[in-house]
Amino acid sequence: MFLSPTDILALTLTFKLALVTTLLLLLISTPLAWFLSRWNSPWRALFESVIALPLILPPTVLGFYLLIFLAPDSFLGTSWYNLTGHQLAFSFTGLVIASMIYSLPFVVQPLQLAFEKIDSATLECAEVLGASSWRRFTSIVIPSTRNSFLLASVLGFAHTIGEFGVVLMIGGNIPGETQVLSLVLYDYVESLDYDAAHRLAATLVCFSVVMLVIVYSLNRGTLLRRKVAGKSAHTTTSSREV
Amino acid sequence: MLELTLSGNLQNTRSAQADHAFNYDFKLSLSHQGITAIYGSSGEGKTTFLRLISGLQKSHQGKLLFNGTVWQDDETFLKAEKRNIGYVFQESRLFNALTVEANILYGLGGKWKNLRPETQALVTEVYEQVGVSEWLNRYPEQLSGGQQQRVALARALVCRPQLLLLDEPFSSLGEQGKLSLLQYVASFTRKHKIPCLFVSHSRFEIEALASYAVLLKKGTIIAQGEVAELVTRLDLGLSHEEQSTSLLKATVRSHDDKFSLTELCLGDQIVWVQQIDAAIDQSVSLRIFSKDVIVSNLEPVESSVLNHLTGKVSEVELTQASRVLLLITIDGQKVLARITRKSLINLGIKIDQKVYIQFKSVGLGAISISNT
Repeated sequence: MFLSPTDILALTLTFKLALVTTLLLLLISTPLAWFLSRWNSPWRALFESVIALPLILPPTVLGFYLLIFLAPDSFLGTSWYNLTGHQLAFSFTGLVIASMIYSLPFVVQPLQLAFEKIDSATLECAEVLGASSWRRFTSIVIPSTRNSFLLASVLGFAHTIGEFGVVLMIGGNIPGETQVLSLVLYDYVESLDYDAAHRLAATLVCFSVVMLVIVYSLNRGTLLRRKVAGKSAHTTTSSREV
Repeated sequence: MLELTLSGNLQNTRSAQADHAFNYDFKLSLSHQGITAIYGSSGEGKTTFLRLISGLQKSHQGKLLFNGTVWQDDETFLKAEKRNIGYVFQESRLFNALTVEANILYGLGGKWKNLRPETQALVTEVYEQVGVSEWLNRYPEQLSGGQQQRVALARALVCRPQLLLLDEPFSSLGEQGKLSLLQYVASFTRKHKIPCLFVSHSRFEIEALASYAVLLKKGTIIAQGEVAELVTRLDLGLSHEEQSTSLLKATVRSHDDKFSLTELCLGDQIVWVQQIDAAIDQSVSLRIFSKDVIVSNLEPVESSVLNHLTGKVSEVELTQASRVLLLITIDGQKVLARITRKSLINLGIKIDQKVYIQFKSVGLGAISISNT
């Protein structure tokens, strides 16, 4: 077979991890980014810095601290163990938490930038028209920031697939639980099995390219449809303005 | 209908100095139905006044009641989204991600097929009258500024709000387009019994549309009343403006088809104007610029001016070294005349003196009619 069972297992696990992380991140980042975009306070810079920290910190540093915080004898680790009977470190759940922190700025920042561009005047107008804050968000904010949501998801997903340092520190390389693609690849290279490494790496490159092409085509498609709709309307209308 | 006492201050965002706070203290009891003009120069608090009423801005303290419902007092503050107000802003504020149709139907829930048949009929009528029916599938960015303002008006009207607020709307439309749109607003609000507050700094628009006005100055309400009364009050700025006018109520008495003229009754005096499209006994409003009024103390004979009226001087005010304002009462109605101080002395005009006035032209509503 082209890929070994280990490869397939790691591949599935990696995508599961990226998917879960991205979905959870979208849930958390949307309100967080909205709050930051509307917050006028000197404290905002501090919050933004903390969120941006994973961008500049070496992943191993982040992984090291996460290892300490998620360890079985830590407060978080103990509480989680008492609650669920499972450990956080060296588990899939622990990996999801770590990935979320690691990829947070990649999801928050595009959303925050997009939200900042939304004019509060427009939202006021929707408010006067009777829209609740939830409806204002879903009907005005989300449609006009759809591309940024797409971008945030792609960045969050891709960044989670590519992580290495953090999972190395807190993952523990357990097949089917925490052994993600980058670790398997590293193992192949360590054991000088370049053929296996090539197969895995090439598969990943192909998959990434295909995924990005699909995403960007979808995005372009929606833009094109709008332009076409506008053009046809334009040709059938004579100007009535005085 | 509208009762309020609202006071507080806000940072003036338009001012360059950040420490410049704008204080306001509005007290108003308004029972006028129909269109009420909110008049004042820029920076006097007109927009703030509307924002406070809409609930987009919360007053620090005060009370606001609309038709007996509390919108704001010490305990309650009804959110803007619950007030069922139509608000047309200075800018069109359309939703760029939505089509024109989705923009207009936004306040009705957004979907045409979910509307009741009578609402659909109303929406169709508004589409036609405001002139947006051909752009429904377009996006706001594909429209001109004037077209966008039409969409914004349609969006506010289709909801049949219980109060309509217009903040200097339609600035991107030409004079003619603006006036016809405002006239539609007037007939719509009359038909659906929607009181309307109309902010404008154009006295032409106000005189053409509103019968009642509220004057703002430095964040307070300095006067309210019939427009015809406010424009002739010498203690208010309106009478001192360059384009000051008087508004006279008259009724149509007859039409003279031979000369294409219409005879109007003003009390027991007669005024001839170019023929107008109005029924006998219909009441109309005459607009006379104070600079166009000619005053004399002898009855005029033999001139090309068709009309002259008799009145009594009730007030005289020196406005500049060379000019005076005369307030002349004609059968209980007031006419403002601006003449030179020299003429005043030459004619020997005194309070309670009987005078004759003539005017070169009168306006009727929005239509100017020549009278020579």
